[in-house]
Amino acid sequence: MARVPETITWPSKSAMLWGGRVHQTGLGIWVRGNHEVKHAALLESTKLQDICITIADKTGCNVAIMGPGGRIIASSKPERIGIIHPGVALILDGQVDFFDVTEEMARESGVMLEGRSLPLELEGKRIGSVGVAAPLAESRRYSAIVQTCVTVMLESEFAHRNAQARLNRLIESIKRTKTILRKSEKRLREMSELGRIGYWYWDLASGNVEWSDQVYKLFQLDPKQFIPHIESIMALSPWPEDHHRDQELIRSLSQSRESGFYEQRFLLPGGSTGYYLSTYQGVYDDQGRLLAIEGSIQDITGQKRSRLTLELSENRFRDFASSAADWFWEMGPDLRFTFLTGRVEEVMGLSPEQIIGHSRREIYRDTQDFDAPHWQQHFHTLENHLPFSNFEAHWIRPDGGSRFLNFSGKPFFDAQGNFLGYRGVGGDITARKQQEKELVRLRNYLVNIIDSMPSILIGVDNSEMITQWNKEAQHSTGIHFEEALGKPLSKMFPRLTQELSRIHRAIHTRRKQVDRKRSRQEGGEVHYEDMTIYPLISNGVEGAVIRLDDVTEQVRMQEMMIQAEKMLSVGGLAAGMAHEINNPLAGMMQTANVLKNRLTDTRMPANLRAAEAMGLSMEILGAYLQERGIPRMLDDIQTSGIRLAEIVENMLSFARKGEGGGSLHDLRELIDKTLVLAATDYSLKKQYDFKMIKIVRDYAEDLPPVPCERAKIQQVLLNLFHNGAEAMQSGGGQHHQFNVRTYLSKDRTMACIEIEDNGPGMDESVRKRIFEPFFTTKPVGVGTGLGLSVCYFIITEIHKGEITVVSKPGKGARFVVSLPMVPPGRA
Amino acid sequence: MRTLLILDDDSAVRRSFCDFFEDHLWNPVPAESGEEALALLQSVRPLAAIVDVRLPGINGNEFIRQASQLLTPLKFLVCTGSPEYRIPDDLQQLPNLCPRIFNKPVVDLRELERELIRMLDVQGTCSECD
Repeated sequence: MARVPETITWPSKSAMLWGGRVHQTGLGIWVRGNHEVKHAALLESTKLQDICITIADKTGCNVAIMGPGGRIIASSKPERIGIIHPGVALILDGQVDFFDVTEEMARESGVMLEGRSLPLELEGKRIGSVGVAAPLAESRRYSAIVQTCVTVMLESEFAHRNAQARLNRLIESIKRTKTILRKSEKRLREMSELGRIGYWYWDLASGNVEWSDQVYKLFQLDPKQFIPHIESIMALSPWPEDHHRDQELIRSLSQSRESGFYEQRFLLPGGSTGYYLSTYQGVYDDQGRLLAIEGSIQDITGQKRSRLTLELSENRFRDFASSAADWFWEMGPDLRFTFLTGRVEEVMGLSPEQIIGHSRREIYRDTQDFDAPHWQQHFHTLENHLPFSNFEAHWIRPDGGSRFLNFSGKPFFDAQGNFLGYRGVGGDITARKQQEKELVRLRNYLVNIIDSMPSILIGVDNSEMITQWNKEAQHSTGIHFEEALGKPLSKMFPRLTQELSRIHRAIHTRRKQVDRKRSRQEGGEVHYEDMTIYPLISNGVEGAVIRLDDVTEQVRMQEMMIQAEKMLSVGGLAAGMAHEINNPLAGMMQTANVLKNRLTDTRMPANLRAAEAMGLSMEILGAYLQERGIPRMLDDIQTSGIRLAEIVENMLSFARKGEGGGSLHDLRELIDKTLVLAATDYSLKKQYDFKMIKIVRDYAEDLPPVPCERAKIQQVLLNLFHNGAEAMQSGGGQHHQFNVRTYLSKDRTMACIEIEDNGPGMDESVRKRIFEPFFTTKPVGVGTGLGLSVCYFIITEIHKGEITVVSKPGKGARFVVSLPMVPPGRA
Repeated sequence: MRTLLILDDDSAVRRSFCDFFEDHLWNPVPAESGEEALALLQSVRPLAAIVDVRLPGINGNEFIRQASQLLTPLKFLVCTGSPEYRIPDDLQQLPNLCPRIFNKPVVDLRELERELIRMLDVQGTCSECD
């Protein structure tokens, strides 16, 4: 049973009344204070007093309201307040429903002639009683009316109280919200001061708005100049989207009586924007029509701004954090995970729940070798509560996927320095690892390519310092890459010193520079190389790559090809000429032959007959001719004719391309027969005595028969012996010697014949040209200059073999003929 | 006297052959062209002919072809200035044609004579057999 307190005190001295006026629906009281107003602490004594007097005035009765114990707490006769009414306790105890004052009791009281006390109930609960004192008939007539009036008025009063309490609760909840807000935004605590709340009342019919003073302050407006009206207030907001709020508010409150709050913004006279939090509730008439909206308003500009700032900085931090790491983690002092956020599940394939409560050691146990130094180091770090960064681990996901992870962490401690755990970030660096791996692979691949090039490749920067140096450059110079790196090009590769300007040009013009067939001396031989300078223009890296290719072999091959071409054209020419030369030559030589016969044959009957007819003695004629050297002259004609015929024959050799592989021949037998032929040939020519030359044979035992054209090979060998003998003869000296060797090449694809003499040899200029047609070192009239070029042609063109010569002045000459073991055309 | 037809358009060569064989007791009959030689065969009966190949008019091969159609058992020996010369396939079967070809200049005319005699002897023997 609710009990009416003996005295009712207002909750606070700071309680404040504003807009205190009675509307048709009741009394609007806005309470704000430090003390809570309890639901049961009810009615103001002056209000009850008011009720009593009002009713007394209307009815002519004395009216009193009795609280607990029958004490009069309000009365139309104020002097009676505080007096105990003895009968009321019975009503309040529920023992009787009314209490009639007897005449004795009325006399005793000195006031009441007659009286009744009736129970007062609020919301079905008995809270007190009302007493009516008047002449008995009057009191009996009026008491029920009075009871009803008081009850209605109390109920009305109480409804206001409840509304006020609800409002208070709302305010409390706002306050709590604000407190929470304040807690999270400590720096703004001072911004929400108690006094900075204004109250407003908006009459919907007129559009007039009543403001408390504080509202003017909040809006920085002068109460004397600004008349608050819904239109003038809306004019403070330049944001059209905010102008719908009044209509929304009306609609919302027409549909439901729920109060609420919202945020507003207004442009202040100073030009800045103010942010406000308003609470509101509807004011309705008896029919439930919305008449007005009232509420409080407070300035939250500071909060708003700092919240915006906070949001901004939080967002910023979140962005930084999420771009710096894939997830965050926290460990407790036992090094077990306590907290995880972010992409950990996506990356590791384990949910945070699977990880929390476990240590890193437990999680990685199955996939890691903890004896590895980096893990040992990591555990040492953790146990010593030291920070660590970029610890990398290879993680095998439960689904078998492979990831590279990266962790950084920082220990944290309480104020006393006790270790509380670790906080840190984790990241997925798989892509980066793969890129790194790919980069290493690519680099190795490129280095391999560069190193496997047969060219010398040297990279330089724009001050000619070496940046790249491949295997071939190492091989050529004997200097290792590490040694050459960063050193000047001119020191590491002196023969390019004169090319520095060209390198500059390549870099500056961004065009490659090419210099072909540069010749240089090396080890007494001429070498050729192609030089290409490529400017490096990518990524702004200035520099160049110099590429050197040894083309000595190619140049020589080209020269040989040109020679072969020349020889072929000689051959073509000879074929056309041969007939034209041979006929007059035949005329000359055959005539000389007949001439000699007719002059010197002393047994020819025609000669004898003619001489006799002339009376000429053949003996005298013979003596005369001998005396005049005629037979010798005739022989000379013959010899010259033979030479001329040989020239034509040799020239024709060029024209006759191989007519097939030929048959198999034993080279040893072929050489021996050629040597016999050479001996007769030379003795015939009387230039030198071949038999005086010592022949040293060194024939390989295992040399199989070689496919070749016997006559042509014999021609070559004969030519070589002929030349060698001539050379040794011309060089003078004694003990001339041929060393003749046959052997199989190392790869067993070629049969080789080596013919070495100990003659005067030749210098490089001769050696290089020795196979050229019409090149001869012999005196004019002795050599045709075709012999060795024919040899070259026969060996290289017809047999697809090789013929080379090694010689130095004073060291003799060594010719090597190599013939393929597989006949040309079948290879 | 052994009559020998010398067919060569080069006068010096022709004469040198004639002179040589005259000295060696032959009866050389010179001809400048194949046509002339064929005409001569109507009147003279040589044992053999030394035939040049490149000739004005019909060439040596053609001369041999036509001459071998005649009843005269004539022997042929080719002596040419063309180093590339090969006996044509249709002539290779001719028993009267010497398979050895002499190239001009003939350095040793005696060798040519020996070859002629050898050829005539063999043929003679054979004709005796027939």
